[in-house]
Amino acid sequence: MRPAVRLPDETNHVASPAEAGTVGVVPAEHVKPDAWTSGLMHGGWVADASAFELTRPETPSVVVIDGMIPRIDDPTFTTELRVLVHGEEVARQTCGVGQFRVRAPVPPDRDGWRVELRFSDVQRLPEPDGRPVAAQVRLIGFEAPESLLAPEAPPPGSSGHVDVAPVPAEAPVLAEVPREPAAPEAPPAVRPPLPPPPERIFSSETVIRPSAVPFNVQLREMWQFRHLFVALIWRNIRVEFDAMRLGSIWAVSRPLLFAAVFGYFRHLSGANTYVEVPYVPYVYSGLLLWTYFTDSATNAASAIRMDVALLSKIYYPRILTPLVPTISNLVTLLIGMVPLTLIMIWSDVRPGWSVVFLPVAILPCIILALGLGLLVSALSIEDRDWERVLAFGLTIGLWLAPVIYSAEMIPDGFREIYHLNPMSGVLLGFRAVLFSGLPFPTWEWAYSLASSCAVFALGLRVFRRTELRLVDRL
Amino acid sequence: MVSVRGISKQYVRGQETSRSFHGGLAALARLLRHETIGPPAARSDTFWALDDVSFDIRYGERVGIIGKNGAGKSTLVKILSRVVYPTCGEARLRGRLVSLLEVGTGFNGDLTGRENVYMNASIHGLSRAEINERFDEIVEFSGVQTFLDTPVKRYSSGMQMRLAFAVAAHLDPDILILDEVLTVGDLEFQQKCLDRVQRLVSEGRTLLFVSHSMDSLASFCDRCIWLEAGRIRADGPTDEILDEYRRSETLAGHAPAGAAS
Repeated sequence: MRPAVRLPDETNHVASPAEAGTVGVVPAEHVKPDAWTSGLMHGGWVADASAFELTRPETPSVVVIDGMIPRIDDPTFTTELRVLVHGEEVARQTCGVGQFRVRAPVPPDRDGWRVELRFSDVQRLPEPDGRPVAAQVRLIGFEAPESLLAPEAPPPGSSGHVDVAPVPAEAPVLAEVPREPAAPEAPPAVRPPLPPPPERIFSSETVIRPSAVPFNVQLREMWQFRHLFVALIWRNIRVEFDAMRLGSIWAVSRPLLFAAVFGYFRHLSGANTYVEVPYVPYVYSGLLLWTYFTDSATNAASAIRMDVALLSKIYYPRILTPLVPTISNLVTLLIGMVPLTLIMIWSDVRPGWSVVFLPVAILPCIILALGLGLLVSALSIEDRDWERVLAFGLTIGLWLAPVIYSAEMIPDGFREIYHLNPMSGVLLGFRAVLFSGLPFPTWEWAYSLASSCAVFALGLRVFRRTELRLVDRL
Repeated sequence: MVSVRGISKQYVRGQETSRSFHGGLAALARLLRHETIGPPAARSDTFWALDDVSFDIRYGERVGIIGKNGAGKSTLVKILSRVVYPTCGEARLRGRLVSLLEVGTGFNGDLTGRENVYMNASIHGLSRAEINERFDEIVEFSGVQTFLDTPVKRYSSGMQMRLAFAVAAHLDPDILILDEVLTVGDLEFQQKCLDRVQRLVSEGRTLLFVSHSMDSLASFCDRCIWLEAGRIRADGPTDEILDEYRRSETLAGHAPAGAAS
C-alpha cells in the first residue's frame, strides 16, 4: 500500500487550513473521494461518538484504530471504547490514559466502510479550548487479516502496512502529554481542572437523510417526545371541552339523538332487529362506539391540516399528530358511558362480571381507528379527496356493521362475508361484555383484532413514506 | 457538531402530480414500494433550492448565513431543523437542536399562557420536570406574569412573542438556529433577547443565525456562509464575507445603470 497520508483538511473538511499539518488521521487510500467523517474535530480529537467512512479494502481485513487518551486532570481516567463497523460491534475495550490501539476483524464485504467509535466517557480539554473530548485519533484504517494473527502488535506509531502520519510532539491544546510524570512537572500551560462536561452534550447524533428514519430510531424518538404526546392530547381535550362550555353534553348528544330516533321508529314499526336485549341500550351502545370510531378516524385524517403551523416549523415525530385524536376521543367515549349506565338502569339491563374487560374488548376499534387515521392522513396529503372517500365509507359503514341491528338479522350464507368488516367483531364483543347473557364472539373478535392490526401496519407503512414529503406538500 | 455533506433540495414548480383519484391510487402504490424520496425528477419545471451544500460547524462556533431572498437560506435551515427532508445528501448533528424559525410556533389561542409554556417546551422535547425547573425564569423573562392564566388569544401580539421567545431562550439548546426572530417586541425586549443569545453563545453553544441585518451578523458571528442560488458562494470570517457581500450588492445595484449608458 502507498504510504500516502492525507491530512484531515483534505480528506475530511474538518480542520481549517490553519490547523492543517498538525495531525494525520486517515490513510489516503481508504478515503472515498466523497467520504465524510462525523464527530472528528480539528486536531484529530473525537468526542463520545464519531464515524468515518472509508473505502473498502480489497481483501477482508482488520480494522485498526490508533489513538491516545489525554491526561488532563485525572490520571486514573478510563473510558470504554466500542468500535462498530456498519453498526455491528466488532470490538470493545477499556482504555486508560495514554496510547491505545484496537484491532478487530470486520464483518464481510459491503459497500463502503463505515467505522464508528463510541466512547463511554469524555473529558474536557483545558481552557481556553474547553472542548469535551474522549481521545485523539491518530490512525484509522484497515490491515490485511494475517496481521491479526501476528503474535504481538507492532508498537504504536508504525502499524503494519499502513503508514502513520507523524504525530506532533507537542500537542498544542493539551495540558499534559500522556505518559509524562505527575502534574508538578507539567508544562506551564496547565490550567486548573474543569468540571466534567454536562452529560447530555454529544449524547445523541441526529442524522438527516433523504429517507425515513429507521424504525427503531423512530420508536426512540417517540419515547423522547412522549411528553409532547401527552401535551397534545391534553390540548385536544382542553380545547374541545373548554371552548364550548357544554362540551360534555355535545360529546354525547349525537349518539343519544340517534338512539332516540332509531328507538322511536323501531317502537312505531315494531320491526324485528333480532336483538336479544332491550333495543335502546343496544342501539345506544353501538352508536357510542361507532361515533367514537368515525370521529377518531376523520379527526386523525384531518389532524395534519390542523397542525400545519406546528409541522412546518418544528420537528417532532410527525406520526404523533394523527395518533392524538384517537386517544383524546377516548374521553368522549368515557363521558358517553354515563348516559349508557343510566339507560341500562332504566331498561333494567345488567352487565355481567365480564364488563371489567371492556377496555380490552374495544381495543380492535382503537387500533383500527389509529390505522385508518394514519392511512387516510397520509393519502390526503397526496390528494384531499381521500378524506371524502373516508367520510363516505364511514357513512355506509353504519349500515354494514351491527350498530343499529343485530348480526342475527343477516342471512346465514352472507354472515361470513358480513363479518369481514373489522368493526363487526368488535361491536359484538363490546355488547357481549356490556350486557350479561350475550355470548362472546371469540372468533369474530379475534379476526377483528387481527385485521385492525393489519390496517394499522399498512397505515404506519404508508405514513412513514409520506412523511418524507409531508411539509413540501402542505 | 454539525456536518453537512452535499445537501440538495429540489422543488417542483406548480403541481407535482395530477390531483385525481387515480393519481391517489398511483401514489399509494408508490408509497408502498419506496421508503426514500427517490431520485430527483428530471423535469424542466423543477429547480434546486439547495445544490450540493457542504460545510462543517465546530462546537461553539457562531455561524451566520447570508444571501438574497431565494438563495436557499430558509431551505437550509428547515432541513437542519428536520422540517423538510433533503432530496440528496446527508447532515449530522450532535446535541439538542432548537430552531426558532418563527416565534410563537405551536401557540394555541385557547390555552392559557401557562399551558402554552408547557406545550411549547414539550414540543422541543422537554419533560414536565425540566419545564418546572425553568418555569419561573421563563415567566420572569417574558414579563407577562399577570396574564399567565389568560388564554393566549387575548394577549397582544407583542406579549405572545415575548412569551414565545422566553420559552425558546430557556430551552438550553446545544445548537441554536435563529431565523430573523430577534426583531420581536420593543427595543428593550429586543436588547434582552440579544443579551440572552449573547449569553447562550458565550457559554459555548453553537449558533446558526440567518439574517439580513449586517449589524447583528457582525456582532454575533465569527464566521459567515454566503449562499447564492442554492450554492455556497463564500465561507469565511464574518468581516471578509460581509465586505464582499456588500461590494457585490453595490455592484449589482450599479450594473443595470452601467449597461444602459
